Amino acid sequence: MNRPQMNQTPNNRQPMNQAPMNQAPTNRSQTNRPHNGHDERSRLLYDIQSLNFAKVECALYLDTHPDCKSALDYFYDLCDNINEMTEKYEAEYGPLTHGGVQGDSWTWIEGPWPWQGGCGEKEV
Amino acid sequence: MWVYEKKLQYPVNIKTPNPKLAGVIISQLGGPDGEIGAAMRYLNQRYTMPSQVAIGTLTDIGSEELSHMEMVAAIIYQLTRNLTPDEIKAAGYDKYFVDHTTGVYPVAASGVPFNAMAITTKGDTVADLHEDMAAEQKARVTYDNILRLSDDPDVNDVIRFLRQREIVHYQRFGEVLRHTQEMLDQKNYYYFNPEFRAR
Repeated sequence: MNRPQMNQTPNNRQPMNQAPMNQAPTNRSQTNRPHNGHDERSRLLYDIQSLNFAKVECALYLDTHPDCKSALDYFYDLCDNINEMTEKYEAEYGPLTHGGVQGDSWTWIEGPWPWQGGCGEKEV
Repeated sequence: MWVYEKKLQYPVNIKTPNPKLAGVIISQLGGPDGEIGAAMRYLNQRYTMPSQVAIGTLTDIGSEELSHMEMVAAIIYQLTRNLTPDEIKAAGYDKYFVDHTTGVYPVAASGVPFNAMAITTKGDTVADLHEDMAAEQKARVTYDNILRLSDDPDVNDVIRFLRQREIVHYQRFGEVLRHTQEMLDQKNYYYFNPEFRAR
């Protein structure tokens, strides 16, 4: 897909003098990574977000249908998949919750934060 | 308690700034039918609810609304990045800008700050669940109106997702209402308030 990257300035706009202030803070994990590393991260995060959304939706359904066995089985399957993928993501790209911090520095505060482009992308 | 997860419930990746549109969408952050109101309404109503079904549903939908609050704020943030004062003036965003610059502050599109008068906890299960169902429908209409005003596909994709959630939540609250009515006096749902059983 030909989607421009978040940090590109669209052609019809002039670069703004305050632009650097508005950009995501520099972070080691992003700058040191090859370009396609971002794509893989975004794709994996998108998959995790998709499964987590399914989990939220399934939980809401179970709130009003607590005896639905097939929904409960689906819920457990989702949890297994999410745990597996989250473990893989956090080992490679950093924590999604405090509990996912690994190694000898506090990587929790490293960007990009979700609103800074650090959320998954559907088409990368 | 809550635990922050460093992701959005649905991705927000907007390429083209558009402060005029931001000034409209901000109503779903701090407006009368916005996501902050939704979260506050459900999370506060749940304490005195008379059934596990009602408490569980209000807890989970209320929590989901917090993630929608974050998504709407992400839309506002991304629509108002890298603006010049001229662009801000041309878009009519100057009235917001003068007080908040491009920070994210919960107001309605009219400029009225978030107001808890737009929500309620009545403390009566039937009344509160009707309030919740109406709230979901009102939020759905606001998203419909945003879709009428916006032609940015990046924005509309997210707005459609949020709009769908209103419909699902409406459905779940309807089920909670039916479940609650089954617990009540079948000849008169209003015979007593299950949240307040006076002796």
